[in-house]
Amino acid sequence: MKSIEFLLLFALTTAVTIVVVLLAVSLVIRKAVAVARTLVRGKLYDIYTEAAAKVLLSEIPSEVLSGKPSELFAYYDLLLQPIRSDLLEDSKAFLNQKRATLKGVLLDFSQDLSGEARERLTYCYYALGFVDEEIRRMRDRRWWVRANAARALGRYRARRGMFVLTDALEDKREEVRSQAMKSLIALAGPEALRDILQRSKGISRWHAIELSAEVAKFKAESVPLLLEALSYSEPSAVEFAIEMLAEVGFVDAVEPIRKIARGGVPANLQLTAIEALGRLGDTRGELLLLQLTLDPNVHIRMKAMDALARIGTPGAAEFVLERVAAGELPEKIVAVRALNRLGERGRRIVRDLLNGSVPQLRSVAAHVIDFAAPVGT
Amino acid sequence: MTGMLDFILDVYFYWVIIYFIGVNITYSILLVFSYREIATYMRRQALGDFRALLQSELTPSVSLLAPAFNEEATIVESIKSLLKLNYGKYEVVVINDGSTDKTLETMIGEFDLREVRQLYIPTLSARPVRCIYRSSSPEYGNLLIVDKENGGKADALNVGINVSSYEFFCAIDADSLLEEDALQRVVKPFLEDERVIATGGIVRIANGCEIVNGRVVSVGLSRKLLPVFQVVEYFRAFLSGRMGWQSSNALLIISGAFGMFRRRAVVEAGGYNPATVGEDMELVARLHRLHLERKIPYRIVFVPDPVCWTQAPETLNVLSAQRNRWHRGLMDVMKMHGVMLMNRRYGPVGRWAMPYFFFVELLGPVFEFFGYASILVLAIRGSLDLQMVILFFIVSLLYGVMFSVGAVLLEELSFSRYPNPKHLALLLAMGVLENFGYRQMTVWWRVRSFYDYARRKKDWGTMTRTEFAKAKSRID
Amino acid sequence: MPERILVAEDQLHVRRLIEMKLKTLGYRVTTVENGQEAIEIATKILPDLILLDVMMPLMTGFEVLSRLKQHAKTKKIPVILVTAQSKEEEILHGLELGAEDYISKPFSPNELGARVKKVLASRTTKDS
Repeated sequence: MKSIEFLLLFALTTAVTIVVVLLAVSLVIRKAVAVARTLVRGKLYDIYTEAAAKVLLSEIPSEVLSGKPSELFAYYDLLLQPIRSDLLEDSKAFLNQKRATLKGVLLDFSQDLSGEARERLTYCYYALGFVDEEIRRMRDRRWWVRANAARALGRYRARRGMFVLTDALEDKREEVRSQAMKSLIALAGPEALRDILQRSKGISRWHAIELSAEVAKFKAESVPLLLEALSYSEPSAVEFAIEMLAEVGFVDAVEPIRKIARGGVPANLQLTAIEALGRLGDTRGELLLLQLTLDPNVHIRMKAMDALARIGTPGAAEFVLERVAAGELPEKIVAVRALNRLGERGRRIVRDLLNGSVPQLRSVAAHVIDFAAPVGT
Repeated sequence: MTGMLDFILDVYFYWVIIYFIGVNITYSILLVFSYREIATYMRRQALGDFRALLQSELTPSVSLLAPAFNEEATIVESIKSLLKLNYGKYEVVVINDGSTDKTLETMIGEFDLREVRQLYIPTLSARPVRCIYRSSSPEYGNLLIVDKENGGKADALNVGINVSSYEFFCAIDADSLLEEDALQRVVKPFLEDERVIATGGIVRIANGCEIVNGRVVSVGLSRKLLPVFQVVEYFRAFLSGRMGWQSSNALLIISGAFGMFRRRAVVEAGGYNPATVGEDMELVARLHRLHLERKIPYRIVFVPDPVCWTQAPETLNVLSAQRNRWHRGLMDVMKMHGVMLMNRRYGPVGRWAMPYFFFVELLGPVFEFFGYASILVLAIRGSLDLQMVILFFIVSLLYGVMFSVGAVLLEELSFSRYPNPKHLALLLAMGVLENFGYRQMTVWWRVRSFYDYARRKKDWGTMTRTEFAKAKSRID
Repeated sequence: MPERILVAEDQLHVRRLIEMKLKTLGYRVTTVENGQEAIEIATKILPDLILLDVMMPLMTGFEVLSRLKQHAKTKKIPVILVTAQSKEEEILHGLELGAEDYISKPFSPNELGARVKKVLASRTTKDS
């Protein structure tokens, strides 16, 4: 091997080695610095927590509280004076850190306060310029900045941000849409469902779970919007509406849901609708469900049997017994499980099977009795 | 004739050096991809909120499958900690793989188990099931114990899948220590994207950490050398390796210690294959293959959040047996799914992931080993070109160090689970030191595994079982 | 003699807020960050009231509560639970374990003050 080539290669590798070593060393230094900085930030957090708590807890004379809003705000401004003047000092770099810490403190408080103290907090967000800052950030090119801004606006309960949030429902980045969704609900309650279900590009299961927490909090107010959503074109929105109506237990939803359960819709939508009929427990769904136990699709038959068992339709036992005889093993299990929940008659049939002459049915019956899992698990 | 030998060895050296440089470049690219993925993940993490997941009725149920073999000393504690996870609805299915000790009896006693006449449908074929047990106490209502004839981990998992009824299942080792919110984190990708069929979690080394009630309470480094080397290795493998592959949907390994799957997808693929010791990797490879062949859209995702901790081997015997087994598993996968290698039909998996695992992971140790061997031969023959040797060592050293440092860097920039700067410095130092002996040992073990594979060594090594048990009951 | 209140809460800002509010109302306040400390300090200083957060790492408020009620010295001390979830089962569970009252987050500081006052007042009437 030529010496020159060797030297070149040697130099190259040495250079890379030095770079790597520098990288490693700088990492350790960075870690130590970060640890130190966390301590400083911790102290700052402490100071601001004290200051913020003071603002939030200071007694306000009742005449001012029940007086004109402008006077109340003037009072709030007075309380905010110390923090404001503190923010005016110092260099720009430190100012950013201070504002960030203050924002963090105020955001933390947003989760835990209610009542008049919470109103004060909202005022602070506006007065200190945080709300406008976030609205500006919603137009940033980086998706995580937009998403964090959307989240903050929800936490602040800043109604001024509602327009940008509604627009953000159609943002090209999923995380931004998700945060906008949550914030809109926080700001507008169930009313926000209309925009959300219509405008976001599909409701994933994750979204559905987050939204369901909100619906659970405002059951009655959500119902009209959910009913409306049953006629939307986006299947995931319809599916969400069905599930929520069943969850809330709004029995009158049986009528529109029945139409969906009848068919002519995507398969999983039909299955969701059938299950919902069971959960709603209303007898208006019985006739359709009995018909569906004769459907050519085995999944539909099984869902229908589960639903009938939940409702407890007495006459269903005959239909279900059909499937015990005619179905494959998985269907037999579902059928016997349903029988076990169809009143005394159904239970008697199961006991008969347990002591009957068909070994397979004996073990199915034993399984159901020993392992009586709730329907629809 | 002798001139011929020298010539061959010379060429071989050139080849190895080029190989190492090529590997370096590959690692660097992987590192960059991993970095981007982790940055994205951390940002999404900061936005995430699991409160709704814990409370909603829509949250899917999960079956946690834990195959157990001769774990009488630790099984009760493991099960108890598995029952205390922070998740809505899930069942814990312990599959007793024909233990020859008192594992089953211990469980029956501790958890008030009684036999149930639960119907067992062998959707996936496996060794026969002897009995199914549930607890009589309501507090263990979600515990299910299946007793079966011995058949190995893959077989036990298949039984677990047969018994489980939920949409998702999570395959773990009986001695995996899960974090409280592990299930939440690992189920999230499935809920965000319907195409996701499998997610893998990161496995971290528990040696040296403080463990209370089956939970890692504070993170530390073992005082023994071997586990610390493995910490760096795991960083390399998980953070800078798997994370990078995920970005092109080419993740080929999901650790057997913790992985979650969509039950339907695995059943359709045929379940785990008991004929291989690398059942975790083989299943994932097969999932890729089938979905690509049938043109079904799918994603396999990696969750880099620390979710699972495991006790790493602390003795050379156990460690070498483990590495031997892993390598033989890799050979199985290559043999069974070699059709994907460099085959454009299989997308990034065929074009990049399979070749990487074949040339770098599988054959890498062989190249390196023959590198050392050639040096020895040349030295004996006195025709050693010192420059070449120095170059060889530098390049191979660099290849190890760069990747290790990069991996530790990734860890530090993202999860930063080791709060003490001293630990960080130690890990970095180990990243360098491991190239002076530790790595060479693993190279030798892996080269030897080729011989064992040829001899058709199919088991996990019964001798190592007792040592696994011993290693497990010892906490640092 | 102003009453002494022990506050167990892991989140800094909530701890400070509650501490400040109670101090403004004239009570003496001791704060702890986790369940273990709560039990230790409670046994040592025997406060007149304990404000206990439910969601704490390592040891939940419920565990702390049941331990306090088992200990002879501390079982008479009234406890108000601070809960972030307003699930009925949780609240009932807490009351069954022996909590006097509960307050759920988000809470109004004024309401907190009023509840504390009420519980302390009912205790003194019980003793007298």
